[in-house]
Amino acid sequence: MSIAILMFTIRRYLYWRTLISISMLILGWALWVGALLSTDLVVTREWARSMLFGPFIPMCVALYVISPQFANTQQRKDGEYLSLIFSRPLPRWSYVLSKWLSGVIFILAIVIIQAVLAFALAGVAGRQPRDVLDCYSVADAILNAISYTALIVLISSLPSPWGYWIFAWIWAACVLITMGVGTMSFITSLSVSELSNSVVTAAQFLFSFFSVGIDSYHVFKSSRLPLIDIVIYVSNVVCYLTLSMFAMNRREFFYAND
Amino acid sequence: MLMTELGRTNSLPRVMLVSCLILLLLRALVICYGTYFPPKRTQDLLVWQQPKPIEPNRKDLLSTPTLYYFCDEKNLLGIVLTNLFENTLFNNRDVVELIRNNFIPVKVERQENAPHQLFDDLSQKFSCEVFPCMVVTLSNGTKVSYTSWQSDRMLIAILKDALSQCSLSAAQEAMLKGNFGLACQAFAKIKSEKSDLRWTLSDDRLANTIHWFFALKHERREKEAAAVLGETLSVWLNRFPNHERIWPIPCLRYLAGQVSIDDVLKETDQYGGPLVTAHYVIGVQSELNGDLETARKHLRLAVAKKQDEDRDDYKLARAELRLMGEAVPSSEGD
Repeated sequence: MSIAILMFTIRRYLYWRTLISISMLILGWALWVGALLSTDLVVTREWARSMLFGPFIPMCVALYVISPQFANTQQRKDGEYLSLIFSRPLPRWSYVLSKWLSGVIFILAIVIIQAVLAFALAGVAGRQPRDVLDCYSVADAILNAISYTALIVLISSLPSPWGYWIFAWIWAACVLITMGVGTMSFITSLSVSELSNSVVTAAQFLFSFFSVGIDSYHVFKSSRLPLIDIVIYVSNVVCYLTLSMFAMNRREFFYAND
Repeated sequence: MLMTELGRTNSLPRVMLVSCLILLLLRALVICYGTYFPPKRTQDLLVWQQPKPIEPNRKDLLSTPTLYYFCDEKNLLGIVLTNLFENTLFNNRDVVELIRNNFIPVKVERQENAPHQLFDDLSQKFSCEVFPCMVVTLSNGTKVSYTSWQSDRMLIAILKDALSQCSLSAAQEAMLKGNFGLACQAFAKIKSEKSDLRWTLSDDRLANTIHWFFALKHERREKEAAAVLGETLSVWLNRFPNHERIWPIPCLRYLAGQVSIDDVLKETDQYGGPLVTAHYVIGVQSELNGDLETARKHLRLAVAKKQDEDRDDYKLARAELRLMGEAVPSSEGD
């Protein structure tokens, strides 16, 4: 992995237009979460927790900042640095990993700023951060940042039509399941006697590629260790990154735009 | 356009490729194992009771509430959804403990080729249309909370919220049925739980104070009633010293003897408070003070506000009139 690319990519995220628009979004989101935290109900506090540490912030920020399909980087004047960085051949896998890691760091920074703002707002109303901030929240924030950034790196490495389609499918699955079930981690071994086991296995295997995030609370509090959730999560992250490396190897790319 | 060299730079790291393949194989194996050797069903963790017809006349409203779990397994989709629902929620140790300790768990299921009259009756009574779902009720079948698909954390939050609301629902039910002793117990329970839920919400707290005050007065516990009223007024006015006219503070001040009937009605009109509440408060207070003529007049005025028939005070005014021996025609809210 290239430290130069990592630092340079993080620097690219600090583009003034991106920063201004993200600041507005952060402020709006923090106000909303702060209001939910201030309300004296366990249900609204749980909503606030999932809004702060759930999958939505990682997915939206990663899409907005990383993906060329959505983030317009053409206008950035980065050219003067490129000749120095690319004066030696750079493995594309190194570029993919650097991009992923820089995205994770950037998203975690956003989540931390977001949480500090929301807690400060809720603090005015006398609410304590400990109401929603626990080890599971921290674990969820890190794990979701890792997995959703990997997914967005995959989307961003694909040519536009493919990227859009994959994004649309993943987004639909995420919204459907997250709105209905909460964080997606429910594909625990499903056995339906009315269906053949091979059909159930195949369906679960295919559908589990859409299971991007993980709910650490669900995993640790389960009455039996949900090995399947952990394996799906880890294999999805590795699979997204491997596929994005593969895709990058098969096409031309222009650093300033990718 | 800047491009990287072909050949040297576009190789896929072997470690990455091998680990990806191994993990995918592992995933397939784990899924296969889970499908062919399924883990034990959640019934082993939670002992579900069989459903019985509801007894609406039960008076032990503060007893353990019932948690109805409705699942519809009449077709393949229903079976899959039920499996997912149970695997998601009822394997969580915290969820299981919360249900075991605080609820009577009842499973209401519909299966293909099995009689399902009770399932139909109960799901219709509790307006359940999406399955699987859960309903929390008091012992007499009063619906307190409903939820369907949730994450396990959100389900815990909803169940805790429902537990807190159970006491409030019990208090309201008892007031409507004229069981003021039980209402006093329920209000005291809400406060003793020091719940951070409904009780501390300003509007609800003030409304609850009025009802608790009347329940205590009906039970002739004058000192306690004065203490409840005084505490709420002092807490509120210390926190918001300039809000002594905010609704329904004028009603509380009237009950404390600080303002007259005319002032209450004037401030209700001025600050947009519901007249049904003002008339209800004046009516019951007059009744408790022995002025039955004024009481009847204001309670009738409260009952005349048909546009407010969803409000608790409207229903309570009707119940008070009945207690005073007046014939009140029944309505949907009764």
